[in-house]
Amino acid sequence: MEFATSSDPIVNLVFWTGIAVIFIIIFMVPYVISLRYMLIREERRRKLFMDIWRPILIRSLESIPDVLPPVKKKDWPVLFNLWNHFHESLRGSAKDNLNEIARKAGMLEVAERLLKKSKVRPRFAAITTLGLLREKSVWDEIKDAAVDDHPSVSLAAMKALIRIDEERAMPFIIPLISARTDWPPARVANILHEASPHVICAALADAVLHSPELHIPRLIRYFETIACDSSTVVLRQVIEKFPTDAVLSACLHAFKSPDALDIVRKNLTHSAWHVRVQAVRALGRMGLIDDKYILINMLCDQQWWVRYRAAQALSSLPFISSADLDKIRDEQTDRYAKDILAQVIAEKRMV
Amino acid sequence: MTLSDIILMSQWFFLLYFIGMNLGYIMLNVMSFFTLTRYMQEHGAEEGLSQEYADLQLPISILSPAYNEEATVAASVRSLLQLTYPEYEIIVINDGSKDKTLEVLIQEFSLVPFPEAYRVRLQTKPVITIYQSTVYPNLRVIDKENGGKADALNVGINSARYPLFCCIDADSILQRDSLEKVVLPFLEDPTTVASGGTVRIANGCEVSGGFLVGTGLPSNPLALFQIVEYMRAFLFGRLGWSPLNALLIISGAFGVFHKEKVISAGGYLTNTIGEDMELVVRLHRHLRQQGVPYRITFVPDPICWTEAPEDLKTLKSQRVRWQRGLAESLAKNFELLFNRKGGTVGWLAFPFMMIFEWLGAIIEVIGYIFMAVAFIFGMISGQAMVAFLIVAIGLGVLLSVSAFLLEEISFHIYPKPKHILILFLVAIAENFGYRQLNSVWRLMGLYHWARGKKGHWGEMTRKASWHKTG
Repeated sequence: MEFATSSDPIVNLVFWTGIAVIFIIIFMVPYVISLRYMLIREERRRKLFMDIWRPILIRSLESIPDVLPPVKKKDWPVLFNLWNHFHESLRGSAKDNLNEIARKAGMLEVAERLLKKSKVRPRFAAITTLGLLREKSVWDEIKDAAVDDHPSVSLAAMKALIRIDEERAMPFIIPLISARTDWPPARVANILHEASPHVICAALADAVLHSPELHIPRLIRYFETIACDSSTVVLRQVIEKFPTDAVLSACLHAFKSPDALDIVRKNLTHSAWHVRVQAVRALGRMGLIDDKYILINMLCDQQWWVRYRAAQALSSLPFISSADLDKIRDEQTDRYAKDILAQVIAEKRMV
Repeated sequence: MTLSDIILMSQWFFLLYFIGMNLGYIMLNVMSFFTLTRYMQEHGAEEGLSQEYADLQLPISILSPAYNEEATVAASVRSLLQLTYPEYEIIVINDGSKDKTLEVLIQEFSLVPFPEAYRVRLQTKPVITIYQSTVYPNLRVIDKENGGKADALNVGINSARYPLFCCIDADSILQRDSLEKVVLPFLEDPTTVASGGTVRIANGCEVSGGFLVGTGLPSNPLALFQIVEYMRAFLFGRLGWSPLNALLIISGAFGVFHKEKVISAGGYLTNTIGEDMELVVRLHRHLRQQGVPYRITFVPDPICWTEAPEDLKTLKSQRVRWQRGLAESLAKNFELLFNRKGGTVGWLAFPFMMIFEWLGAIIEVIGYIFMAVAFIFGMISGQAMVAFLIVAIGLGVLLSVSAFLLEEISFHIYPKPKHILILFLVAIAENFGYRQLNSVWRLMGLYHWARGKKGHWGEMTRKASWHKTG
């Protein structure tokens, strides 16, 4: 072969690199195609398994079969996903029979084994199942998983802990939700809804008052989504303790009761526009009849968002009719106030 | 220096360039492999379980600029109205169309003039009228003077009511859950300022009611070549940069941005043809300079489908435009290159893009000419020519095959094993003419950029067959 004896080192290098690349391609193409065939086979097997187990799970809502078909090792993940999905879609006592099926099929033992795996998927499935089963015996293992670096695993563990024993979980979970900045707030808020309001409210109120300032706005958001009765009192204390713009904004956003109207009115002239926006919105939620004059004044604010929210707040006050709004608009001498109110009136009429 | 010295040096230059480029792509490939495996683990794990974000998804303003789209605009808007996202508004910006785009919209969606207190946060060409649909409360149409796509998008940003906006081409085909997927990075990491999704080729696929219902391969060879190209570009070209927070492109066909961050960066630039890429590069530059923590992320799920040109003229015009856009985007943000605060994007992604994508066209075309001329005049042996061809084609095919592998471990878009075989043959065939043609077009794009030719709306001959079905 000519190349083997070529004296030019560049040509030699290039040629043999090319040959190596061709060999890699020759290996890779059948590998990719074989992956596809494996996938097709896997899908078929999965479908067959589901065809057997789905009717069993549906029938189990009425009665539990005496004998369950054996589950092969590679079919366990499919069963876990199917069972978790079923369980999450059910309400009330229908779940009891499903729990019974899980125990009878040996899912508990397998889940305990999967908890020790390093892969995310099996651990996630196992933690979810153990949480749905409210299995107390694995408390410590799930607690360990709640501090896992992987957000999917740790959040699933947090949810499972709440499901297993919410009161016991709170002292552990609340400091975690302050510290874990990698946990998406939207998911944390949704998971907190799993707990009874009285349990979570008490724990959150304590956390809001005793956490570092940096974490307060995030904790207030959780506090707000749970709709705790004690929120006004707690939020007042927080504002006193941390009178920063960020905390003030978060608190104004969270106020739902007219008991906080004094704080709301006081902050309508705040120098930070995002605080004024929240104050105006809060006034729209809980304002009294005389507050309409304050809101009319706010239509002239220098910030578009404050004007827009003031107009929306004005239009949402229960004692202001469409005719009143038209009259207010016509009376405005400020062009910006007139324009923004005209927009909100038009929006309201569109709905 | 003798002629043979020059030839020897040139050989080394082209070889080193070639090795550098392919090593870079192979590294991106490896990075994508790990990213994709992790992504599939994470997102696959929770498949089928309750939607954890359902109540807390951020509302989005969808901005759809339209210019002379009378044939397709109504169908596009109708498909946008069917998205499953909980809270969104659609803002269609008619950029001074000369055809009946506005009339079609007014008639199809019962639009009436709306007295919006329009806020000019980004300077644009004048807005003529804002319309609101009386049938769909979340649909508005803004009629404005012609100013180009970027100007139209800026008008949309000015009018957007929600904290996130999604820019979308009028001809993009989404899936019903596309918005849910592309917005996930914003929910998972609050520092996210932009997120882009994978765009795939719709030619050969079955589309009904504005949504993709079945995948397949087209018979047109140009469309087939582009399928392989898009797979490479998205599955490792972009996915590889994302975990390094060094993604420099989010396709204008479908991307979501944090509105306030974009406004503070100055919005879309109206004097560039590649406004989508330029904005992303500028966001990197601004946020890096300010020392603000941020993320610009890529979602690997195939969530947006687009029609690829099937004739050479349209394809050439698209590629010339893309290359010009790339050159403009990098040139306008040159400060990012090796900037003290530039991080991975300034020290790795930007130079890589500059050397292999921007200037690459020049080096590739010179390389082809050099090899051909040197071979014809006997300055390079037949052995050398064959060796270079083997390695050039081999590495090109290897990169395509590794994209197929990534596809196989993730989304399996094309259902039959036969499809993989066809794409493999296409990956070989594209090396004989198509790639070289692309290099020439890219060089033309650079020439247009260097001459400072004025940009305009990218008009494209579209078959838009899906608009006829469903």
